[in-house]
Amino acid sequence: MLPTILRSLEPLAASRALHLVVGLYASGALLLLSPDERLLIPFFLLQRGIVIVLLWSNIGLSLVTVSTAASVAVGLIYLITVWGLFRKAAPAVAQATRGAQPLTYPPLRALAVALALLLTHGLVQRYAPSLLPPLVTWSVAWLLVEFCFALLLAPTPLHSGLGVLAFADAGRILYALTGPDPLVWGVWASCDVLVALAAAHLRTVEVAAYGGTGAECRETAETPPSSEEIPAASLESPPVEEADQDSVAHGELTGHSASSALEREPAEPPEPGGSA
Amino acid sequence: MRVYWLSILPLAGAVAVALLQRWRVPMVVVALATLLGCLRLSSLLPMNQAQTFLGQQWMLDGGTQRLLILAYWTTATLLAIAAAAQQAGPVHAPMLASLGLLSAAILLHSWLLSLLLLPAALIVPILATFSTRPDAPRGASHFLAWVTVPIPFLLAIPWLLDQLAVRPQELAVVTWSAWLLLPAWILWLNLFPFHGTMPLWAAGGLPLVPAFLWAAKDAVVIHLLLAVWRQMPALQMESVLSTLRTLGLLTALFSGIWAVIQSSLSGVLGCAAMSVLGLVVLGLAAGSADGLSAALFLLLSRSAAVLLASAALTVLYDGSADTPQEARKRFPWEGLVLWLIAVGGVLALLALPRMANPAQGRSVLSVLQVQEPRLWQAWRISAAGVLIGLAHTSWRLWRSQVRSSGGHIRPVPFLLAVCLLLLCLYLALSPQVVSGWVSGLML
Repeated sequence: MLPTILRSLEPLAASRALHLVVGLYASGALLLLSPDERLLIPFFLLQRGIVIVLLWSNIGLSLVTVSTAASVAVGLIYLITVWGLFRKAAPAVAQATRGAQPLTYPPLRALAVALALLLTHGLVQRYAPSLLPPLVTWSVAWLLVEFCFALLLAPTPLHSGLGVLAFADAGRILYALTGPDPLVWGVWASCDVLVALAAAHLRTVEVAAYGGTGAECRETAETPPSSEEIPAASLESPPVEEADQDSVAHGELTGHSASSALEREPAEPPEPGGSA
Repeated sequence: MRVYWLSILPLAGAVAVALLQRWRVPMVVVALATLLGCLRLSSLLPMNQAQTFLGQQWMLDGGTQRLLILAYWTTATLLAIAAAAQQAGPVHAPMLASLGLLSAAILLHSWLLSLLLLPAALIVPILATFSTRPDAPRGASHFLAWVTVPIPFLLAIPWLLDQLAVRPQELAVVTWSAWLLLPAWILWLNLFPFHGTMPLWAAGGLPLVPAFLWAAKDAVVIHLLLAVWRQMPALQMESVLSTLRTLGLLTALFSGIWAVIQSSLSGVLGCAAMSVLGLVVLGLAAGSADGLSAALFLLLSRSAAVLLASAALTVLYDGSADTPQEARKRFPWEGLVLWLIAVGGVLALLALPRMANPAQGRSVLSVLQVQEPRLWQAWRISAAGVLIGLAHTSWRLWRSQVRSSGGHIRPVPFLLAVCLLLLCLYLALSPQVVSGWVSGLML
């Protein structure tokens, strides 16, 4: 069955190129629209699948396999991370996402997607190089604009990671036109996996940070410390008369390691704005 | 033993350390043994002999050997400090893996593959980010967003140069290729306007990973980008150098100014380190042997100062706090020493550009001022910013951490920090040692 599917996918780049590019735009727009990290994985896999099919005739089956393996690995890393975070530390995830509140506002994201589409159109109309086929130009321009907007709108490191991968795809489309070297392609694919690992790790640390500070906020609220007790509590926290958000946020060295913070599931959602 | 073992050994060590994560002592022993093995190996391997592995040529020369030795010592120092500190988190495996990839990037003969491996080596330390404050992941997230971006630009360079072979009349292709190298300089060194990434990362936690990047990564990035210029001198165009000089100046200026609003001494250290890096880039882009020598002297001295300050800060933050009653009984002299070392490290970063380079007989600032007359004013503003930031953050650190530390600084990391101070004092008193390393690196 798999060889049949593969055989049917290969000629798509020639027969349905326009549809694929429209699909690329749609999946990119969905990635930009979605602030929820659980929805990122299917949209990313769809976008990456389209890019791979578009490049198939240029790169051959072996490099398609490498790209597919890297994409599946990225998807798995994201899936495991998101699953683990929502299972173990859902309140902390909610608080960490609330920290980036304006960026998760749907009308803002919809406006940004509209602006991104307009910008891509303008860029292609104004700067389209004659060297490149039109559909390649449209694809690369969209991926570059998607990268910029993904970074600007990223509410979490996972979104930033996918923005970086979109940029890598834009570069990969151009590189595929030049007869790619398998070793370079392989190293680049492993960079994709490393980017996903790093983004997943940063999201975990970020959520742990919000979980940790939330717990500390509650402790502080329960037992208001005297001016003499405060100094020992944090990395560089000022005495109680100056205790600000920063002093709470510096609680990293009071025994709350990132991993232990994740393992502790808060009993109730921490108050918003409890961290720096 | 072959040259590529210098890359395989740290990578294998990283895997072993990751497997031993739960057992602290064996993990530290394996990590340090790996680095000692690499140091020994780098001095035993034959020089200037190309060897083939994975279809690629690998070679060790004098400059590369010196660079690797510096990277190994730097990493060993940081790992020793991290091992002695209780709250340092899992930094050993990512640092070793990054070192293995950095070694591969240095030793490979193919510059394109080296410049592709470099982003991978830069991404791996992100896995060592740990903090319960959101600043560190935010800084690391910015770093992640930028480090892979130069890859497409670099891949376009050989393609453009091939076009030149087909159509020799199109000389503009060389100019484009020269400009395509600029994103790598800016993004891998986090120059202006990306200069805030590293201080943000450092401010959010113990500055171990940022220190690794400042001390090992910056040297390797500069080495590789200079190697590209050496291999293809046509890419070293005056317009590109002029832009780099401007970016270096802006990095030096704005990093210092940004130190004013930092809330922790780690953040100020980051700003000072980035500010000095701006001067290093100015020297590298001067396009003269004098500028290069001054820049490398400053880069090596900066690594020593950054290591000293970050080690002292790590040990200080790691110390447990006394109750106020216990703290009053005993003067916290260990905390005071560490505090002084940390402040001294940041001040040393400010003093370095005014130190005389023995190879030239004059200060780095006076060498660089020939190319950039506005440098003196910019550096004074930057230094003032760092001093203001240093004053208020060190005062906060004194009140919050040092005064309350009592006798609860752990002895082993404290001794390590003091040993590092003695080493830095030795280097400050005999700058010809640093100068000798600079001439070795310039081979």
